[in-house]
Amino acid sequence: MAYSNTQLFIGGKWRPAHSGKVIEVRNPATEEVIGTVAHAGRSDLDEALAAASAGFKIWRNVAPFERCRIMRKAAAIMRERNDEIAPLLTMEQGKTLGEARMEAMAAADVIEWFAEEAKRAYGRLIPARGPGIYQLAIKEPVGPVAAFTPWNFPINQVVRKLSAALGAGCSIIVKAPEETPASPAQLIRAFADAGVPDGVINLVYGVPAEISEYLIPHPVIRKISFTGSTHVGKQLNALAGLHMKRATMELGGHAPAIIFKDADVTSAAKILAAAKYRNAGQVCISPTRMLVQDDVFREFVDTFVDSAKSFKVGNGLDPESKMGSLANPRRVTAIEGMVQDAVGKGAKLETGGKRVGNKGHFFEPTVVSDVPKDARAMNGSRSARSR
Amino acid sequence: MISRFSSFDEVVEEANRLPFGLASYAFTSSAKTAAAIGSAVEAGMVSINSFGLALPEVPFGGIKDSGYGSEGGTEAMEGYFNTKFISQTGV
Repeated sequence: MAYSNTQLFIGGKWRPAHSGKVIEVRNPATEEVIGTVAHAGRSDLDEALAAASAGFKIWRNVAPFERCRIMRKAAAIMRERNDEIAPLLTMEQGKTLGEARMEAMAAADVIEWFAEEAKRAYGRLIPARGPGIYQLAIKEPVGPVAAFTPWNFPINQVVRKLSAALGAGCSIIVKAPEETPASPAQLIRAFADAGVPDGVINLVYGVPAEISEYLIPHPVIRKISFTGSTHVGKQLNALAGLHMKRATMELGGHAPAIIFKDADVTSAAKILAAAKYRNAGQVCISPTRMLVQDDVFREFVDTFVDSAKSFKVGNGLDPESKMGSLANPRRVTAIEGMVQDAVGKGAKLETGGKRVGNKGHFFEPTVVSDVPKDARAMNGSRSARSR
Repeated sequence: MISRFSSFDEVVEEANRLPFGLASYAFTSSAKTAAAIGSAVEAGMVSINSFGLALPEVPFGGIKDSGYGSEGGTEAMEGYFNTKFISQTGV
């Protein structure tokens, strides 16, 4: 299966960076270099800003009905190209082909929902204190958006921001993840092929901090949307605040899952294990702290461990694999460290706990029980979460 | 990671102990417990007896150190709108 190199998309054109610089992309399941992604510099960003500014003037005046029609076409293209897009996602991110197919398909659902919502941006007519006075509250698009997205769901994290922004009438510059660039580029391509005017959507990659530090204060940008760690989110939000920019911040979680003794314990364990090992656990809403009432503790642990063991780990392209590779070597180191720390502080290792093989970032589905509250994994140090 | 608890109050304290507040899950057959835990957990999303989060039409977002704003539902659109007030007289 062929992987494709990824270029920047600026002002309706796919092109390399002005500097010609690229960043290597590796397949986390094989650790091999499979392609490159263009590395945007300051002059590329300036062009993206000019394009987004021009694009906003066009798109805000496209009737919501027409925006909806174009967006729905992009959704249809995403469905048609599923066979082509899903393997790219698996090769660059590590998730199973089944998960990749679902993510690319779900993107179409997201696009359609926001496309329809574009037509329902109702305002209000507020009763006035005298005759001949009309008091209107109307909704206007906020302006060009800068969106920053992570590698755990390379398509899904972009499509939510992109679809809401486009539906509202905004233009956007997307800074998608350098480690997983090809699949979000295919999403952007679907919108371009559906007829979104040049400049409305722009896609860049590079050094994340350099790009965010330049785009967020820039007067063209009126809104920031970020998904990523709490640590980085606080920095970006501080910068947005300094420049009075609107911001949406989707940051890390450490989800508790509470199992009361009157629950259907078997069903709960199976649902939570499926949720836990989806995307190899690299999900911001992944249940992380299973809190089980004493009477049903052992029953829950045994069922959960059985489920965990049923997740066959392997290359995401192999149809037998139920859990793919972790997305990068940082995750392997982080998880190894957390397991050792937890066990060292008295937790019981119920299953897993080790890397699988010596090539590719594979890790066994792991369960630890009776984890003390002071274990690092129970506290969500930055490395303890998926992002 | 699996840990034990004995009482409702104890588990609420543990659930809310961390600065994060994105997703949370609870499993119970009691309507009373479901309502109580849905109210007590400090999180942007609570899913009870299923994995029912992240559809395009429902709000998706966190509180506390998990951020703010939504990426689903009509709340997500609001993030991309300004409200403008216009008063128009005598035309």
